[in-house]
Amino acid sequence: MVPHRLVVVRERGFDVRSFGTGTHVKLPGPAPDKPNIYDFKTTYEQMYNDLVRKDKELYTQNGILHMLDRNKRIKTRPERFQSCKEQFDLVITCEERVYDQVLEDLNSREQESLQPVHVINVDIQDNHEEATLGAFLICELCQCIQHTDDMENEMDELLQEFEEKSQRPFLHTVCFY
Amino acid sequence: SMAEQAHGSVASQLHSSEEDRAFDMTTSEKVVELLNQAALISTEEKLIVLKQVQELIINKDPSLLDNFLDEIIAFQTDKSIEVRKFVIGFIEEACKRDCELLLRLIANLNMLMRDESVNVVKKAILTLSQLYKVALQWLVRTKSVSDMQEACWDMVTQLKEDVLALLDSDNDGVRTYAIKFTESLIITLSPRTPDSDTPKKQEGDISLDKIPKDHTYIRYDTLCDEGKLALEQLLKFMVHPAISSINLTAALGSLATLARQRPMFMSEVVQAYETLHANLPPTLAKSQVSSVRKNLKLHLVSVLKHPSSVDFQGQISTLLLDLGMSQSEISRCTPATVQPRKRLHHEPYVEGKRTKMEATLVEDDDDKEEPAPVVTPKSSSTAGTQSSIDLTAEFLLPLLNPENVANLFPYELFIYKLLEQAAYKSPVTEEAPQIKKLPEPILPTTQPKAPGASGRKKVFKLADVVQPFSEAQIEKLANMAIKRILQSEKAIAQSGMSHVRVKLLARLVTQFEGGKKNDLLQFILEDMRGRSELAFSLLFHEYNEYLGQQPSGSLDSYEHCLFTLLSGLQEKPEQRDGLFTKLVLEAPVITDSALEVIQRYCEDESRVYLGMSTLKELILKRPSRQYQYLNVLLNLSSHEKEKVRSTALSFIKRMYEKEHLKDCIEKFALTYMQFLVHPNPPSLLFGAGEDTEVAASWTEETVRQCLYLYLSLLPINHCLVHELAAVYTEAIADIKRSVLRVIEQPIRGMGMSSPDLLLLVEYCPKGAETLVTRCLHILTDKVPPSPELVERVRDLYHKRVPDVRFLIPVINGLEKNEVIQALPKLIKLNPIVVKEVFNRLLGTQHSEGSPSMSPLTPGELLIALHNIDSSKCDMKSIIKATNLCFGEKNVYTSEVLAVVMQQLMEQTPLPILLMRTVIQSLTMYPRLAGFVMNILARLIHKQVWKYPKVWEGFVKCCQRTKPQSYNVLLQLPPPQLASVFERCPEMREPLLQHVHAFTPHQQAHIPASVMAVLEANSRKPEPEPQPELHHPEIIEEREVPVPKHISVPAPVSQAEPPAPAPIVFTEPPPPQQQQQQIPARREEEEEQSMEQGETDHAALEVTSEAALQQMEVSEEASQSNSISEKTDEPMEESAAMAVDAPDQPKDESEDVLPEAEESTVD
Repeated sequence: MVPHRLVVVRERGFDVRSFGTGTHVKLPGPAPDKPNIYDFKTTYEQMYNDLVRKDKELYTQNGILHMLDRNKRIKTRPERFQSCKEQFDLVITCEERVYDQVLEDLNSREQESLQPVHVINVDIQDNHEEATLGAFLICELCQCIQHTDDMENEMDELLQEFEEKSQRPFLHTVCFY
Repeated sequence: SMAEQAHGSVASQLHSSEEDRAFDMTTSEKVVELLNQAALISTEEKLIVLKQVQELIINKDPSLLDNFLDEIIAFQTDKSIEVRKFVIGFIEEACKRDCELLLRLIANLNMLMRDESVNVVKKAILTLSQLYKVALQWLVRTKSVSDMQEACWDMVTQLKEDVLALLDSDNDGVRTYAIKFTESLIITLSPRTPDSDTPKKQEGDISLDKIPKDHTYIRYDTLCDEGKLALEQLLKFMVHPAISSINLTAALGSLATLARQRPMFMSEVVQAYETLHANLPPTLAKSQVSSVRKNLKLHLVSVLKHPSSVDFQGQISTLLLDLGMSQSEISRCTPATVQPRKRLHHEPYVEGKRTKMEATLVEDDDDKEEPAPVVTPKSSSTAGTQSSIDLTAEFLLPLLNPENVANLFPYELFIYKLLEQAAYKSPVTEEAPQIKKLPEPILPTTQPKAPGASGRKKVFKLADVVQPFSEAQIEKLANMAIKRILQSEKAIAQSGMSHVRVKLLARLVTQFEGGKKNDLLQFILEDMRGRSELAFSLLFHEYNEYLGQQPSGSLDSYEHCLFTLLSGLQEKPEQRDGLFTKLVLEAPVITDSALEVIQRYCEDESRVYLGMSTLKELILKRPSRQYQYLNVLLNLSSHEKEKVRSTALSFIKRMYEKEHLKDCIEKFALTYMQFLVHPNPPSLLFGAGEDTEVAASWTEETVRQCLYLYLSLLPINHCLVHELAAVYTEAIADIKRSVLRVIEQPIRGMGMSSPDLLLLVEYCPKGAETLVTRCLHILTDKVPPSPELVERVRDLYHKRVPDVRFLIPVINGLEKNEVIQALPKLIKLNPIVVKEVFNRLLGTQHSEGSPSMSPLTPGELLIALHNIDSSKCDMKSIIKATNLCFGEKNVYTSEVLAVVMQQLMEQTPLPILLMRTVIQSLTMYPRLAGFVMNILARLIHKQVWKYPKVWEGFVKCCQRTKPQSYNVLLQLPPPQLASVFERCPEMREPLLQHVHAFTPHQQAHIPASVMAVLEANSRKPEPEPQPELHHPEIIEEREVPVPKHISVPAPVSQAEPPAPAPIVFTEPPPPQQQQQQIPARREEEEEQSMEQGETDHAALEVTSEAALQQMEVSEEASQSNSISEKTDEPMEESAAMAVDAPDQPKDESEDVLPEAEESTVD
């Protein structure tokens, strides 16, 4: 149940922001083949109300309402990574497909400042257990990165350690704004 | 502007928000405010504020950029990495806005490029990527490149080399940035072609194709080579077997960018990709291999999409297939133009395009190997008829523009040498036009001279006529050549080519060692003003030379040059123009010896201001060594010459406002002050070396030396005062005294509202009591104490140090009862101090202080003195205190004294000193006699005889005031009247006669018992019980009306008005008049009563003596007295006044009456 497949980390104070990369926002529905689909213009508030109307009990039970409630307190609506013009230092994705989308987007932008942005993919299966584990893993990774004096110099080693520890391969690349 | 202001104030009333107020400020004011804020706030906030400043001065009002540049750049030494990074970003934006700023800022970037933080270095690399292009474009635009620009470009080039070298950095991140820089550099240093895929935002960027080939300073060929070299370096970097995954990823991306933007490199790029694919670095982890392959795929696709990939489509497809891409996907990514069928169709276009592109490249290459295409077709068609010299001349002629000729000068020199040599060595000269032919051998012509073309048989061979010079000859010739160029000053100036000559000399001389440099320097110094351009040029060339020899280069030669020039200027008197300053500020580096010259300059009283301004500029604009420069200035702050010192202090004070210099200045000031705790002054103060032992003792001068800087900072930064207190407590007495003397100005400058000063007062450290007292005195010397100050002193006094002397400076701020409570302690202090206390209380201290400020009116003070509990204070001190009051005749007027007497008289019990005061008042103001009679009469009703001392005084007073007192005496009951006669037998007879002079009717009112006492001597045996009985009645009857019944001589009738209305007395003259009249009045008094006059005289003497003593004792003494512990030290006049100790009650009576004093004075 990883709501966002993409986490963005900005240096200094480590602002963390989450983005979607697809064309729509998909939330779990009553069945795996019946997701709730919204566009990026829909606010969390609207989604919340919509789901409450549809099946309050179900969405309370699976935590979606809780998540939406939390999200709407952070920002009004989900954001699409491709539409964001801000510059980041680190992007973490949770699915290779998303990683590819991010790379494609970043490489298609015109280079200007040459400021590097590291992109890391940590594959996380879309189920409860994995999501929880993955969330902890990403959290720990971010904390470790936060504690490095020189992120770019220590990144390689850090990722290899994590790979070994978590027994899953990471993808890592650098793009430039 | 008045209207604007008015408008502004209205506006601010309407809109109260801060933004609106900010709107009313000018941009400049706003920037100043923001910068001031920035100095004081946390890093986070500082960044926000600095970004606002950047926005204001770069985008909103760029005219301000120059003004505030230094202030912003000063943050490059900030502790925060983010702030330093900001400065780099600012440098970038500023230079983009105004290229001229590169001249100043490139050195800062150079410094930041060497920052200890890799994150700063990385940011600097990014900025250099941008500024490299900006600088190049700027130079290309400039037709005549100045020396400064040249030096600037040289530094940019050097920085470029530095970053390329960072491809070998130990830091992975730094290498990544270096890769991106290299990419950008290659793009810039290669030509853009029509098939270049240029990002929109970079369309205006400079690239090799826009560089003119005949530019005076920028060499097309050199840049082209540098670009190629950079590509080689990048390719070489990529094949390093231990390359990190991220570096490799970055490099792959760079290659793709290069292939798209410079398709001419397509071949190299594809080849590099192939190589990499075949030989992935063995050091990569498995997942890294996946990442790299993914990247490779991505970049190959992006290259494939470029139309110019046509020739490499096969290779790329193969690679993509290997990387797991399907053929259909590959086909989708292949540009339509390269589809085999369509390709045929488009072939002419594609070919044409390619040809064109190749032509560009060929031209580019050819340019290096072949002479410039100035050789026109004409020359080839007429070649047969022209001599080779003519041909060469034709070739050379267009090239002979001034710049090229200047560059040729060294060759000219060489030619000249040859000519001389030839003329000397070969006496056999067959033909006259030899000279004309001589240039031939050295021309790099590829055409061998056709034999016999000039009609000569013998082929001229250089080697035949030329032999190598000896060292000495070379030296001599070179010297002569330089000398000639030196001497040609005027001639060349007339031709307008001075700049060429200057450049030539500078370049030439820097090549040589020693002697020639000195010659040139001497030549410059002979007319520094006229030859300043030469001086600068020489200096820059020396520096360039040094840079060129990096990293092993030595600054010696540069230093010698700078030192000689500066010393020359410094030693020359009357140097009005700012040449010295200019030289210092434009010198690329200030060496130690140069700094010594600057210091000497500052020490010259006639140039101190200019010298220090220069030093200030150095401190502010050369951050790398600013602390060294600052130290020079700081050292001058205790200089023996007053002018040097005060100028240095005023400069330092201004610099103290700069946050980054503050600490250093403060530390210096405190270090110097802390010398004061040592038993001897450190040798440093005597200009001796630090090792020298100087066993001198502290003097006023050395103490001051240690305090100059500190004291000038104190009013700016109040919290420093606590350090002073700490040092003070530890210092020896002599130093303490000196300190107390010098702090007046700064403490006054701080003012009594200073929170730190208040804090010092509140927590007065042990041992600093005298310091605190002195501060209090300084603060309240001219102005009344603030409630805040009073409160602190009160706290200090009540809770910490119960020394009443603390209260004195703030005494007028205390409550009335507090003053009254403190009075017993206060009047026991040293007489001079007591005098000061009274001055303050009575407002007689200084002209501004009005008595209304005092918590006590003069009358209340005098009354309070009378009411002091004799167990708390000895009578002697109280009497001295009341005497001080009587000394202030302007304050204690007859009216004031009348009120005092009236009130004292109404008290029960009667104060001991009552009659003393009555007598003294009467002595001062004899016309109070009537009033005093009234007092005496009322005292009778209060049965004054029950108070022995007062009674004694009563009698004395009557004695003095006879005959007026006769009527009072007649009101006494007979026993008391008898008691009077016992004390003063001589009074009886006159009183009796006085009664005899009454009319019978009047006499009838005198009771018989009284008459009996009056007549005691003549008719003593006659007892008269009857009147005794009447006595009560008589007293009753007499209580009020008696004076009315008795017809008395004129003076007595004055007593008629009742006491409570002292105002009815004749109006006293205004104070000045009164003073003038004093002698006359005293004469009058003396006529009336010798005794009285003498008393008055004595009183005057006493007060004037005290005053005199106070004047004699200098300020110093009064301070040390006021702080000394010996409060009970007797004074001479008090010895004369005090007859007995107060604990001997039987003699006290004498003490409380003025006669005692009077008699001893006599």
